[in-house]
Amino acid sequence: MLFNSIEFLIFFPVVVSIYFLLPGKYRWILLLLASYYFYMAWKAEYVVLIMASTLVDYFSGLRMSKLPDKKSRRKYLLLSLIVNLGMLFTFKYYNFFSQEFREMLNAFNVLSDIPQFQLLLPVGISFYTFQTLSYTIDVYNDKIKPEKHAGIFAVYVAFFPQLVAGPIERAGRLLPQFHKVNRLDANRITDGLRLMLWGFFKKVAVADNLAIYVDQVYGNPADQNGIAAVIATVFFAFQIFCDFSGYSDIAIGTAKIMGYELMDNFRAPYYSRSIPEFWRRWHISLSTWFRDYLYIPLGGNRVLKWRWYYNLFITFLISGLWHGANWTFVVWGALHGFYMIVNVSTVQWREWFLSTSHVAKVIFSSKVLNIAFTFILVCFAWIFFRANNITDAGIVISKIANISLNLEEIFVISPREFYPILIVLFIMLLIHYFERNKRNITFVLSGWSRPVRWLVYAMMLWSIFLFGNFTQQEFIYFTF
Amino acid sequence: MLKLARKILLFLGLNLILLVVILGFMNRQVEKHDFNNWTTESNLLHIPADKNFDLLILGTSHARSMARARNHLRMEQILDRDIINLSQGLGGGGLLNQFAFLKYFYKQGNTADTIIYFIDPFVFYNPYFDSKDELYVYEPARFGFFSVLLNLGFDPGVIYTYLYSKFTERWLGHHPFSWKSESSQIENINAVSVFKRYNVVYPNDLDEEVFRDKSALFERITAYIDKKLEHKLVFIVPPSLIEWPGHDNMISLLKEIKIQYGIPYYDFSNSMKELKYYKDHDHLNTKGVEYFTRKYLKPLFEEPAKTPPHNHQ
Repeated sequence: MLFNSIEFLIFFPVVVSIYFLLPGKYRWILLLLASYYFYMAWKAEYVVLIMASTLVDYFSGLRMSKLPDKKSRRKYLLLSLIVNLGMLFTFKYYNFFSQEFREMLNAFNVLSDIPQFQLLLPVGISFYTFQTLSYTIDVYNDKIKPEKHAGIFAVYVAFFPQLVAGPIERAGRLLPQFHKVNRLDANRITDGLRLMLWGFFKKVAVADNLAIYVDQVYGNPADQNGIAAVIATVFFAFQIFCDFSGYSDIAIGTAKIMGYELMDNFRAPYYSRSIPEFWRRWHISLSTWFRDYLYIPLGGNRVLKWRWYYNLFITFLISGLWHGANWTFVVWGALHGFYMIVNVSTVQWREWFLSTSHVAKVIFSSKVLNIAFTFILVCFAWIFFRANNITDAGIVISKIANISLNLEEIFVISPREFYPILIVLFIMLLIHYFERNKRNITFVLSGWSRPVRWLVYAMMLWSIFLFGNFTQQEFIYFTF
Repeated sequence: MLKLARKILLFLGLNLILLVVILGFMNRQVEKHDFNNWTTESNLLHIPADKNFDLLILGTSHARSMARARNHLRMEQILDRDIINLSQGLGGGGLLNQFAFLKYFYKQGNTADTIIYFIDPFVFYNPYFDSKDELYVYEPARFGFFSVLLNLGFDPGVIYTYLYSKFTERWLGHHPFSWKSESSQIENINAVSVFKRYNVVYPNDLDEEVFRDKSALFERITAYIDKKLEHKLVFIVPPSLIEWPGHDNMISLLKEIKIQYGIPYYDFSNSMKELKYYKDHDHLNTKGVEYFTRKYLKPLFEEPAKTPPHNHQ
């Protein structure tokens, strides 16, 4: 079920109403049934994968807690890793790797008959497998106690607000919340509704309209011109931000209404002054997952320099592959890994330059310039992320390199479609400007007087009505 | 909690009032023009209140072309009847769409002595006629019609676009106009064009499941009209230069309806085959409308002995 669907507009108020009518100890049953229903509305049979993951991790967690040392627990951790990553590999990566392997063998004139499977990628599989994996790894490391209540553990794995596109929660944060009995709280509901409205605005009014332009250019880059390629790339940067942060806001808002606090996933990432800062602000739940469960176990930065760079690069490479089985994502991850290495390896040089050169002081201490430079680097990487294949990405880059400033060439879509995009983008950026140093929109709005707040709500509501794209576009991250 | 509920209701109420005020303003900008059945594709702009008509016409573009380009006035003159034509062209003459207009027509306190429903086989096979978002972009925002659409279970996309379209430039540019091409004449039958036309009106080919669903809806409409006993209802299969796939299935359905409700049908699909009467392969031009009205429709209003000459049932 999509958040931006009529079904959800009926489903959610019904679930919330029953939730608060039910006695606290039975609420997990409702949440579990509602979560499975939410998932099954997409493809019923794939709920079995969630159930399998739940069962394996629940029993692995319980078994591990009864064993005294890591060595004896290892087999249960391995079981969890094999089952979860095995499912992920089978459904998401098998065809990609088998095809690449076959092509490699063909290049050496070795005939091979590696089968390909016609499997539909289960929505949200990368999210819930990572969430359950974090649980077993934390139990293995004695960071948390295992959950004994099977029903509550099942809710933790399948909790519908964040089931299909995160935020990827940690068991230590979310599981204890399911044991508490939440009461109706007007302030919480207000905050939740604010987040939901902001999320819907970003998704339906901004992201889905930007997609019209982006799809037109990236659908056939060879026929486009340089200026359209630049605009489409910048638009895509905002499209993916509004799409994904919009989803996160709706997810956090829906959970908040029921009394659950999900972690922040975005903090104005395009205001970052460096790539490391960008990764502290973009898809926070995933980047911290990779930090805690991959980068640090690899040794983090407490190793030799070359090894540190290797750890950074491999973390971003795998993060790229996490997004999809395509070379474009691998290149995107590699690019960010490269950016990070350049950033950390030039710190001393930049500090020296800053202290000795007056020009450098102007350049490197200028906030705006740093933000702009970081944004350009991020946008360059987005080209690979959005392009259908590496060849298309190359075409987009060559178009941008040969740009001519003919403003008429901007209109790859009709002005009637183009101008509303600018209007909603302007409204979004204006509100987002105030959000840049705050946790989220609720902290911005609560500081404003009621007439201003209502004006902002009305602006969002009317933008959704007048400019919203109601063709029920899927969220981009559903496919990851 | 009560305070929050009050605030939400107040906020939504204020926005709703604003919406209604803006819709009213936008309606007025268009409704200040004088629209007739032959100067707009909209129906709500010319449906009056509390009026009796001698004849009400329903159907697809094949019936709508009988109103365009002052053909409506010609028909009224030939038949000597006061006519209202609620059929819809431009791919909008689906069964549910016609049911909506008919319901609204009654809701406004109007009546009609006779209803002629020009029925085409493809409306039983095309699942998209009634779910096109743009179905009502030419209709003014009216609460009565809005409630009919909700009541009949139209897609949310159709209802949303109906309201949303009133905020667009296109709506403000809607003014009376007259079709000029109704007097043109087709030169020959072009197989490629016919094939393209089939692809447009039969996007799912002859899907039996769609036919079953649409037949059930057709029966519902028939039963609805049948309940209003003061009307005489007639189904007419309009003339065409080309054969419509699924024609036989539709005739079987009309036969069943005739047995169940005693409602007659007349199949004129093969009655006019001269090119001079058509502007394209299946739409009558002005000459065709006049000829058809005189030769086939007029006898319907005369003595039973003078029923139309071809394929009548």
